[in-house]
Amino acid sequence: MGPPDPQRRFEEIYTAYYPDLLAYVRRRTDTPDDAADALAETFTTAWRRLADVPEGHAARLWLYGTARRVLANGHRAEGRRTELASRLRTELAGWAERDEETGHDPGGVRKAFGRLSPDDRELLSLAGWEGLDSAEIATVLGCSRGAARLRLHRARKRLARELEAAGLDLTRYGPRAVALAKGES
Amino acid sequence: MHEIDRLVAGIAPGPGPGMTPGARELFDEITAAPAAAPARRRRWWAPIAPVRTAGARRRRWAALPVAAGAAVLGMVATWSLPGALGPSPASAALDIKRDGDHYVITVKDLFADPEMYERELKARGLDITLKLLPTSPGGAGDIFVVNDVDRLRSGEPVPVDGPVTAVGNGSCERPGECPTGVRVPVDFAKKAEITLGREARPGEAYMIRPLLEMPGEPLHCVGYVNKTVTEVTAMLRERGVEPEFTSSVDAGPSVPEDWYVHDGVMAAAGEAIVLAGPEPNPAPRPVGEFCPGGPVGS
Repeated sequence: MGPPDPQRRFEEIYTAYYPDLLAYVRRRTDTPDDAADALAETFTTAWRRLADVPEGHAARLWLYGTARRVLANGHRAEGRRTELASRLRTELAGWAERDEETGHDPGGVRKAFGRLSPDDRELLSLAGWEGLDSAEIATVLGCSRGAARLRLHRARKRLARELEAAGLDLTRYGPRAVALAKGES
Repeated sequence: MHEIDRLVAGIAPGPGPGMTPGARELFDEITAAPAAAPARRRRWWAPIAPVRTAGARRRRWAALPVAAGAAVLGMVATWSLPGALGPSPASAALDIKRDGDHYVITVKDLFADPEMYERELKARGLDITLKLLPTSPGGAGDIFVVNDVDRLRSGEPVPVDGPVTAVGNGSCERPGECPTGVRVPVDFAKKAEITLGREARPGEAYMIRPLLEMPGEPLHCVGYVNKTVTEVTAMLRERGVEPEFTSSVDAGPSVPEDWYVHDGVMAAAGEAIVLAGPEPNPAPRPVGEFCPGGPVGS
């Protein structure tokens, strides 16, 4: 077997993780255009730096980390739209209309979540939305596992307290939520 | 999952439409430019920074290696389809669960883009192509597994049994309630193609054409081979099926009515394609093949 064909390898990565990355950027951008830009830039970076993309599942974490930096930079480069992905923009805009958030906020969780700092929200999102454990979160954020575990713990605790402050009955969510809010763990 | 994480998961915005034509177009646009330095490929655990891979090292994320020269295994099994075919989220065309040393893979969305199946299988290190093709209600659930595509292409023989098996095969009484799925060994390292039948939509031609005598088909347990074109036409029409006759020898503008029927398949709901010839079929399939109790009267 010779060295792998770059296009083929990139296609494998793209096919395997595009839906995950789409979900990631969609959940962190306000408009379909921003989402399409972030996707285009993230995968362009992966294509240009293919040798740096790790194998297997770690590629997904690498892509999350890259998308995260792209989104952080995007705020500075407002108005700089890529020419790519014109069809994708239309699709995402159409999807956004169908998929309109209902504003339904079970138990006031959305509101409490919104009161957290962006850092806390990102930690909790990586765990709750992307389903990552603290070691994987450490990879995405580029920090140590210990630091990720601690930051995640604190973010959970702050959300539990926000929920309690909003007068929610934490026993509905289980003993660990209660313990967090009371500062027992 | 932690209770707090579960609460956060409950307010997750939707994942979006998954792999779409626009996403494919973006892929083409990106790869139209040359990749900068593709030659050197890191191993998956090669540290970018030591702390980053500490977590990944514990688990085996790497795609399974493709073993060369393994046996070709082919089999026909019966799958049944789930009753409800509602739309599934983009990220869940398949339900993949681990059961000991096997994955139990259940098809949740029978109409998903095949790339979506592949993506979800690839994420588990499985190099499996999954295709769903329209077929008859009786044939819906039939699966053909080629466990090793490379070996098959080299013309090697195909054993009848393999490590990939159907889920719920033969274990459910009502078709609509059976899971549609396969069990695949976790360390399955071959390149495999799995094709399975789904019930055709109204008016849709079958791409998997079941034999007329298979269970659930119009001539199940009815001997029809080596009867005449006239006789078989009557038998099929009686059952609401319109035959179209064809022949491997020149039959003129239409197949003569006194020719012998050799074989036949269902081509769409209510439509059969029947093969006939001027002489009787010297080697007809044994009638008991799909009908253990023997044929009923004709």
